[in-house]
Amino acid sequence: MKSTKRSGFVQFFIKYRTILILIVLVIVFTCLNPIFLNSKNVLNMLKRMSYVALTAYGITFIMTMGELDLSGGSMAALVGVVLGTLLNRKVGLAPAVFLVMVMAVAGGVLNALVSIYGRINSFLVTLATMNIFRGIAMIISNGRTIPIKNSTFAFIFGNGSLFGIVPMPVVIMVVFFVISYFLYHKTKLGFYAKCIGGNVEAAKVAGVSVNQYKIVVNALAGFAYGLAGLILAGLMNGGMSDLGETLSMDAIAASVLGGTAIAGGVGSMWGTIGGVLIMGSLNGGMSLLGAQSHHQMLVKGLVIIFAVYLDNVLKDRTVVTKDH
Amino acid sequence: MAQYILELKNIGKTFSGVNVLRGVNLQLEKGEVHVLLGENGAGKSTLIKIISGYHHPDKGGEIYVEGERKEFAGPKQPKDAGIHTIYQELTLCKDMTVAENIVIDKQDQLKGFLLKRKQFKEIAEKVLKRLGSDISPDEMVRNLSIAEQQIVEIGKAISADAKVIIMDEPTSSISHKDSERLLEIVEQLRDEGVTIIYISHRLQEIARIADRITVLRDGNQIDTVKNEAVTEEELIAMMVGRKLEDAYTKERVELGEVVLKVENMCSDVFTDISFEVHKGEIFGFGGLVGSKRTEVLETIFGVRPMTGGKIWLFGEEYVPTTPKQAIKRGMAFVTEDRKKTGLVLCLPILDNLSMLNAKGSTKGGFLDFKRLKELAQGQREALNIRISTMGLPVQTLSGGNQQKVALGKWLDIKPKIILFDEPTRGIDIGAKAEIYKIMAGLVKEGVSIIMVSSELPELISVADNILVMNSGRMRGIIGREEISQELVMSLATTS
Amino acid sequence: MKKKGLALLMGAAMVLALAGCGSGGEEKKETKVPETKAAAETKGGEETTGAEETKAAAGEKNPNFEYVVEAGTASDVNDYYAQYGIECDITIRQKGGSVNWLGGGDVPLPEPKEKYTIGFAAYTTVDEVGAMYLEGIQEAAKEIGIELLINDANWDQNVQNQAIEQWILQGVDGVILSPCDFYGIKDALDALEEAGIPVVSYDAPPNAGNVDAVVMYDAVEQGRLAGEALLEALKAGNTEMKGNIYYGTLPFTHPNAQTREFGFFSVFEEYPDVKIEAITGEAPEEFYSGMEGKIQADPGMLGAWGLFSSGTYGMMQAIAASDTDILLSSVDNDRVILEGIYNGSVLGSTGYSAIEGSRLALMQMVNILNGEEVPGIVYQTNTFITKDNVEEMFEEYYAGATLADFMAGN
Repeated sequence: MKSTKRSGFVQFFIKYRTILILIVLVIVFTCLNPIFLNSKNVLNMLKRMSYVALTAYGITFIMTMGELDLSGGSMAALVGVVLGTLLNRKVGLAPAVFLVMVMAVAGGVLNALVSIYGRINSFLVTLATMNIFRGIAMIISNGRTIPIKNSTFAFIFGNGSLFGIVPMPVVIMVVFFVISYFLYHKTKLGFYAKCIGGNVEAAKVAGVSVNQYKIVVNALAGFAYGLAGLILAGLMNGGMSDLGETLSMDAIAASVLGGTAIAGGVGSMWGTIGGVLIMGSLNGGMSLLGAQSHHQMLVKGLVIIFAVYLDNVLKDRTVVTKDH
Repeated sequence: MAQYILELKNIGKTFSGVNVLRGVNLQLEKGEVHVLLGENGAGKSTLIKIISGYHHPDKGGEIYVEGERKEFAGPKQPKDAGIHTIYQELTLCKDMTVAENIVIDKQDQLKGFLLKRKQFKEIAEKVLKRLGSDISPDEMVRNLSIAEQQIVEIGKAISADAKVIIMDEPTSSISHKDSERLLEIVEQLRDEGVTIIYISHRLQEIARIADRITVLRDGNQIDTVKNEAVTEEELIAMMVGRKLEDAYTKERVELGEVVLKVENMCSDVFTDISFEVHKGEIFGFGGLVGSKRTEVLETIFGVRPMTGGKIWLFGEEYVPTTPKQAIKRGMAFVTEDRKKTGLVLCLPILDNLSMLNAKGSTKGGFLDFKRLKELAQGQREALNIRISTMGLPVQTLSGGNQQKVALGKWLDIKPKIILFDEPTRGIDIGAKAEIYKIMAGLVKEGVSIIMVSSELPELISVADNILVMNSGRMRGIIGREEISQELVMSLATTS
Repeated sequence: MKKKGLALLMGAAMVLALAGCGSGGEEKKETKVPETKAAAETKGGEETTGAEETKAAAGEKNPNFEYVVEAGTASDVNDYYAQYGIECDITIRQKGGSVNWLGGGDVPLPEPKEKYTIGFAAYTTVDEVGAMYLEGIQEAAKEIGIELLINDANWDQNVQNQAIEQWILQGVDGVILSPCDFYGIKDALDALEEAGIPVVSYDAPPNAGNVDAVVMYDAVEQGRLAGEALLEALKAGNTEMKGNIYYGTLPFTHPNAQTREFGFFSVFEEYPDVKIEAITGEAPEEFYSGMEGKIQADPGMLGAWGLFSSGTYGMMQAIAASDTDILLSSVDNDRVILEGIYNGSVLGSTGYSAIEGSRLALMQMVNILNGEEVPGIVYQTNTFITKDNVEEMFEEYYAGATLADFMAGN
């Protein structure tokens, strides 16, 4: 009645692979260009990761539940466009932000409802809403950038910084990391999300209202996309319908890098933030080395394959043996 | 009248017109181990699914828990009433810890928003201690053995104060030593006043723990007896009283030379299997579901690795490597689950029939559809596959016709040995007779068939020799003359 | 010699910088022609010696520049864009007026006073124009010994901003950029301003934030030239000026698109029966299918116009596939378009040299870093390419490669 235990080093490597990959990357980039670890550069890189991180928090919940969501990037773009439009129509900042966040949450709920009651796989539902949300953003903006000139908004979600040091998007990223961590690991929500993703039958047998949790998790993810959209709009000083086109994919990649299983049931917020940091370091580091976008894409792709391969290989070896 | 912990009155179940369970009456007492015994398909699973709220009984059936009438609309209500079921397919979240899995059923622990992890652990520790287990509450379920996972399932039930625990063949896939441990736990729970409904085929096991035994056969409750008052032989007789509905007697074919000889074959799940198959023979594999008969076929065919032993094929030594190799050497394998491994359901009949022919039917690199069509047409006529057009997807066919397609796809490559796993699973009586006829026709042409069947009457009337397996071990080969249902069943259920 | 040297120095002080403002004002007349060191060397190199060599040798003026706005009154990009409904709020710090680059020779590159490190931030380098801008600046930087840091943001403003932030930390001397997003660049420009790093934009300038100088082209003229060519061709065919013209443009707003549209539309203003209708897309295949649909629905169309290269290319293929001879005018000078002009499937296209654009940007940047005052805006030359000059222009745009070679597949 024993499972095969692997050597201490392998165990350690499996458990901390995300952080180990990150450390290797940081060391390599710093050796190649010491500015990489310059505190300002680190903060700047974190700023550029912030919206990916927020999206990834949402995606982690969704994937843990065994679902997928491609609509995050489109929702983020829509949020910026609608916010810009509202502000231009002289709606106050607070009500405008409130409205777009309600919209983002509603978008998540919509994804869940269509998936549940239409009995459509969430991948397909969000493939559709990904287009729908971006389409609406294009219609509203008519393809134009809608400049946002509200300095309070720019401070909170864009170029402002806490104590003049930490960029506000980083502050938001950290605050919502804590909240997401808490929700994911310490509350019933995360608990049942894992349970539903791991074994939906077990969840049903345990009397969990699966659909209800799906709706709540999607709403939560919508909220995360909304925040990502606000940060994007803040950093870009405007709403644009073509923002965040790779956002969902980057977030899914980061989440997977952090050990979230596409099939559900497994994940951790520490892993996800680790994945985001890996992706961000790759972007920032390669930019510092002057690598062209084509090379960056190539390397990003290879890292994802490597991480997922590692995940699969390591998991497969956890064979349970029986003694006779 | 004493109050029963669980009482079933006149429970029946009909699925789309087919009556699978009739008039079952059970009265379970507190602290009783009640065994449900019956062949595969006798109605045990249906019965426990009714008790655990997955199926609604037919009209007229009533369920009482502690004297109170209950209507179960889903799996949650039986749990609230204290009835917990441990299925063969365990319902644990593999990527959660032992403690987390245990508390899932303890609803009062999950009230409120925040998780009380410390308490989870305490509860789990207490429960595991009560079960005398040394599993760590923090261990991931994924890392546990099947037996350990079963203990977690039991822990889940008792932590939620289960009054009745239903166990569906808990020992079927665990080792002897683990079974011992599990039976001890069952006895302990019984002594603590928990009622256990225990489903098993292992007669020794049953003799040891049962208080009472209910035997089901073809959906009928044959009898409910006290353990002391019954012998193994009597139980077997009650189980196997079935007759082949459409009595079928195989035409005898003179057996030819040995075509396949297996000696001490082993794999990870079975050991020491030895037998010989002759030209023109139908060689049967008997035993209960889960006795690893399919795995023997898969090993011969090169699907799973052989870890020991020797095989001679047509007098030459043969080491199975891949199915491709096996096919080359003249073997075919009609699998048990035709929906998963036998057919591509969404593809047309023609494509399914052409699956193996496609390789040899090309013209300048392109598929020769004309030839494929001709071949398929030939099989369609030979096997009497009743269809309007070859373009229909296979899933639109009846089970019998599907099985013919699954068999037909092999026949154009002229196999000499056909491995046939559950040849008549899920098909109606008329189609069964046709399949037997096709098999008889094949052996007449000198083909040998190795067939696995869980239907005793079928096995007995079709096979020339029967190898009976039990828990991955060979219990004996019964020749034509001595074959009887009782003999096969007793070999299959006792060790 | 002494006298000549002094004159050279004086000339250099004013002219090298494409003429300063204020004190040097008396020299500025209607047409100021800048002369630079590099140009002077190529033209009158044997005259300059010793110390003078480090300063420019003026005297001879570079006839390839033409002043359009007096020094000191830098042309206002904001007003330019406002006419076309584009919100633009930038300041150009250099006050040296604005000049036209007339083409017809190599852009003169000044000699850097020190070894400068310059960041080159491109919105893309994978299309033909982007690739030529990159090639041009790499070549030019090599010529005068500039260290170049390159970032290709691939249309992602966040990527570009990150690269610029890193360059600031790396201590670059200047940044040459073309934004991915015309407003989203603002934070990066603010950061550069704060760090005191000069910025020269190329291609279309940002619509928010401040820059030191701008190298751009008159996109209105580009559209107008394309429109005039189409109108002329229609007139030559005695076509009745009634019907539709379809043009391929981007689905989102881009300053170049709006200005080119304006120029094109202005040509047909006096023909009320001519309707101009858009086909939108980003990739050639979108214009291909869009145009194919229009040809089916409206075979009697007056003509078509590709507002940018992908539009022209897709429409060109659709026209060829439909076996009609619809008149197609264009802007941009990708090699396939030039081949189309040569073959007669495109009647003509407004072209501009990306290589010159990046050389002009580097010229501006080095002059700024050398401490000179330069014109706020340099306009690149637009040339309408027709069958008559297509081979010549091909060689100009593609650094000596020939159309014949390209068509032969080399």
